[in-house]
Amino acid sequence: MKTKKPLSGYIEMLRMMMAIFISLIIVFAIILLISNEPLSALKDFVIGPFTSLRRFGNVIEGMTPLIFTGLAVIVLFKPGLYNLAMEGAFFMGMVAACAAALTFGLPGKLNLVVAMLAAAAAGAVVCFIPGVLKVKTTANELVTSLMMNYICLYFGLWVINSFFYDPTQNSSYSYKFPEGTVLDKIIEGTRINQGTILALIAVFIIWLVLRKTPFGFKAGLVGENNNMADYCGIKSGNVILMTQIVGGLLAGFGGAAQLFGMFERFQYSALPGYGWDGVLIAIVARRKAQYVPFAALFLSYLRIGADIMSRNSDIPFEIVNIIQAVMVLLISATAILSGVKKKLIVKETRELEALKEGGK
Amino acid sequence: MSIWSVFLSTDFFFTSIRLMTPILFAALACMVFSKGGIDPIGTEGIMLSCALAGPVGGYFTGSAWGGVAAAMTVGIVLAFLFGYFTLILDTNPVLAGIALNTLSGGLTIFMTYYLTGNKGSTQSLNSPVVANIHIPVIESIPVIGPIVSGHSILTYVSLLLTFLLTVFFWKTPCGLRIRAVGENERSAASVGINIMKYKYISLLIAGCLAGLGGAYMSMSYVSMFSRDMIAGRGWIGMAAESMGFGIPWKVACSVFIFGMADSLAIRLQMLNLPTQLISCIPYVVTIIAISIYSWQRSRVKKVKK
Amino acid sequence: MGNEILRMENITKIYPNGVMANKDVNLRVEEGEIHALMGENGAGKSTLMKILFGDEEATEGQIFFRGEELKPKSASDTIKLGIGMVHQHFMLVDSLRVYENVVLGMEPKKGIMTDTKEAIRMVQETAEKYNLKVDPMAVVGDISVGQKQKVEILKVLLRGAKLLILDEPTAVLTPQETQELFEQLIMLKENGHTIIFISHKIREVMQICNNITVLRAGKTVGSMSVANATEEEISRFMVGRDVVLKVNKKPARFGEVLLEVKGLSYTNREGRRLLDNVSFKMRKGQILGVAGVEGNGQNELAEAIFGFYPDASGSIKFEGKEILGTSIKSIREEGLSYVPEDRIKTGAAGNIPIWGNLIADTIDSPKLAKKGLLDYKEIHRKSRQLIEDFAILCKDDEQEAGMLSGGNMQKVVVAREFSSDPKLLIANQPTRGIDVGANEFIWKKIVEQRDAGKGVMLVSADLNEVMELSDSILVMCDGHVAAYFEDASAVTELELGNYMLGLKKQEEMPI
Repeated sequence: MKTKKPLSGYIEMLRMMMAIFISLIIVFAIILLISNEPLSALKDFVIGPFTSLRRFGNVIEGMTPLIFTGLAVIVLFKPGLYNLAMEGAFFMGMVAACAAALTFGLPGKLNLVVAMLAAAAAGAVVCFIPGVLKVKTTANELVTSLMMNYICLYFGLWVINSFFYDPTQNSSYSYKFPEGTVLDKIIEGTRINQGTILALIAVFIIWLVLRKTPFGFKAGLVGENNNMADYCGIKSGNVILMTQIVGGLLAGFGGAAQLFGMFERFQYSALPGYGWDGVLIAIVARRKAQYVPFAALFLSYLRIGADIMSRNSDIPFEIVNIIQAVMVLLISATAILSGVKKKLIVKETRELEALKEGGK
Repeated sequence: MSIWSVFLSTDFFFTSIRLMTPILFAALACMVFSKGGIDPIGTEGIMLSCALAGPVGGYFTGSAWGGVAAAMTVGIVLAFLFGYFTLILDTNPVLAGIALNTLSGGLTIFMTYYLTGNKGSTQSLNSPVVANIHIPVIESIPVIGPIVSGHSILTYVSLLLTFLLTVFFWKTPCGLRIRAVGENERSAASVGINIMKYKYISLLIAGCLAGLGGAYMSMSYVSMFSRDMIAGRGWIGMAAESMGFGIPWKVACSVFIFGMADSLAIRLQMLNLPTQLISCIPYVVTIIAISIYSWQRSRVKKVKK
Repeated sequence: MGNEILRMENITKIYPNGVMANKDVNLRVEEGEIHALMGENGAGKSTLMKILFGDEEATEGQIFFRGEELKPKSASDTIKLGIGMVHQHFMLVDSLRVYENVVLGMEPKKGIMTDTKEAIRMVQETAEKYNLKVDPMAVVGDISVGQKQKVEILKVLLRGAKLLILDEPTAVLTPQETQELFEQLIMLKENGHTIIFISHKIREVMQICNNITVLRAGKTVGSMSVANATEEEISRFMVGRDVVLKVNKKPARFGEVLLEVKGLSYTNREGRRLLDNVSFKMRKGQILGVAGVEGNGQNELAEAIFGFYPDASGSIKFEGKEILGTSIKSIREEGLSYVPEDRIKTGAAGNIPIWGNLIADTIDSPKLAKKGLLDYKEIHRKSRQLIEDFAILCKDDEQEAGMLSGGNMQKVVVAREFSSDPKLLIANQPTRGIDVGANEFIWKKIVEQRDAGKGVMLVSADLNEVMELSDSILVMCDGHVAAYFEDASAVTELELGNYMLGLKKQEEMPI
């Protein structure tokens, strides 16, 4: 027997290509309409990221947080929940990492490792709360997780400001992290650091967990048909809680990787939005861990392009949000191309009938 | 100042009402969405865009009401966009809601920058604001006067709309049909009701309400748009709507609890308690409230068994 | 003969998937009569009514209403002509009041407001005229099923229906409510209304109907006047079977007791008692058929044994061990497996590959994993083996289960449930809606299972299936055991039918 890709995969691919194409067209149209020098703006946007090693390095660095939150969203959404606390978990990861790094002051890299683990634990707690409330009280995880995000923001800022605030600096900047509590750069002339490697390792682990372990299989089954999961003897409540914890671990760890890879001190005063980006990454990667780095590369490229464009022209960086929103809307609009899908199903059924005839 | 003086002041209740207004608009918008059987998840994003449309519209028309009208128009457009994707193109409502949120977050900053050259706020537009009104007679009643009088016109509009929507949904054929469509499409269709027509009417009304909520934030609560200024009020409105069982006066009561939580946060800051920790209060209250509410509801079901 | 009001002539309906639901069906209803439309589930009653209401288009045949040909496009067309339907699953909006439900879509207005007074008056007037006592202000979600039915009837009457179709109206009613309904129906008849009464309860039909049309397997098997028919005759018309399939099996060799159910009762959330003091035993090497008209507790019995209702009362012992109140997982580990009634809702996950559906119950088994990681070689070996053993027609085991035909998807479910080599297999409607080939195959597998000394409990609404396969038969009616036959071959279908339809009940059961 020859293994063939399931049909719905092709349709999703086609829809995604279309979505990317349409959203880019919309953005190009906006640039052409608004900008005074549309061509140079477009050139910066499209080619800018490739014009220097440093810029291309920015693209690669930018992938790290996106990979982590993309993976987090895939895992959080796997059992059919819409827990959006990955945004808060990422932020609390950064806060916890900062707090641990400045509090423990362990020797050398040990401090880094402990701080990153603390971050992962903090993220797990954040995502666990909406999950456990859903399982135990049936509270809508969407509302509770969104509230969690705000709580994380304010609580995190309070922690930094009350205990780690560096009075010599701007508002809400923490003290510098101890020497050695940093993810080392790996390519000269860029800020590409060990965080990217950790992110790729995480991709491998999550791919392994989702694809190769009974747990991953169960999480998927709960998401697809929880009646069937229950009837097959799978305890869906426990599966849900485990996925929420793992998703939180990823987001929190990603926060730490971002913090120690890119900064010397904590200097956020708002939610960074990587959690929301994770939703787009998960959708573009078709909820498969192995495609996450490519989706992250694509989004990071768009962002660096938009960043370069915004520096040199009158088009603000936030144009990226418009691309992202249009892409999410169109990729998840399942009715688009459903006609094509139906035709393909009919074709496939016919082939199968032919197979049946041949077999007789 | 003692703890008691925080609660036992007319100021506390005045502020509670002031702060409940945008949440009330959000909750009413969510209520209308839900009544028509549409997921209310887009409300937060819609309100944010409307909050920008208000001052911008006000700036260009030179009138506060022009701004409010602009905000409502944007609200309707975005509500229909959400409706088009979720009802016609079969987009998952949660993803559509997230997309709308992202879109509004980006688009508002984009437009603010385009109009003012500044990404943070529209302060430089000096846009008009909706006036506050002092109600004669009532104003001079002790205790009640200072609490009830002196609010923005939009605050009174929100309370009036709570009443009008009650009448609309329970006393008019159109409202009745919307409720039927939202709760049980097949039953409604079986007596020849055009389902899409009533869904569109809900989108229209909900869009207007979200528009008013956005306009209140940037034209009354403060006098300009600033980035991410809705700050979860749309989501809190969603929570309040379900806690009020979709019944307007009960929804308004739950909204008032959130208004008080907000107001408490502000008052406590005066006691020199840490600002940021206190900012968590409304969100913590929401989580606790929705969990208790859901837990009770699931328990009632089990007891019936 | 009276005045004809409705005639459906030679109606044939073939669905796109090739299923023939109606073949040359004829129905003739006279004005002012109560006409019974009888037949088992799947006999084609609902298809016929869907055609009348324009939900489905007939492949062949004509409909005449008051002598004029009717080509219905939608339900509202038919309502306008004065034909109204009271659905078995009520078309009511729970949170609305009774009067709101009744006038929905035709509300009296005063300006832009609903004229509530007029609406209530309209409802009360019609209610009084036909003696349908309901409180117009009550919220529909709070009233009893019997009351809801009255609301549905009011809805239809207020829209001017002269011909009322009631789809199994008594299925959800208590005996008292049923009697009340009958009085109202007779009153409606006296008022000049015509009623089509869909039912399979013979006594009820004999009590109030004038004429009967019986459908079986999509065909009209007979029309007769109630006055000239006996219960036995009607029963024979209804449950008579056309043997399509036969199975060869050796005589049964019963072993020791495998399952013992004692005093099992279960009441659902709505307060309906679905299982009422059910007791029976079954043995190794036995196929126990559970027969009954659908909705009489057979499904709940199967689900309760498999652990779906841990809060049911009574006792379920498997090999002497109490399993009621434990989890599905531990019940599976004891050696039970279950083919659920609904393969799409419970039995399979359409978006998951076939291999995933085949191993879902044994995913934690150490046989399928090496060092904590799934052993895909073994998984595919196993699933491909099952695909071969059960002749599942598919491209390969990576294909999504949702792409398979009904019969093949059911084979996937059956294959999974057989693969754990269960000591007791509970098969709930194992061959519903699948093709003859798959049907025959599943039967063969069930007999193999029993010949290997295992137990099979077969729940089926298909009498032919129960009688062909079973060694012993348990008949359920209204949530309790109506009869038990140790030797299935010694019982006739007519006898079974009498127990299924509640005409007879065994007092002393030989269990």
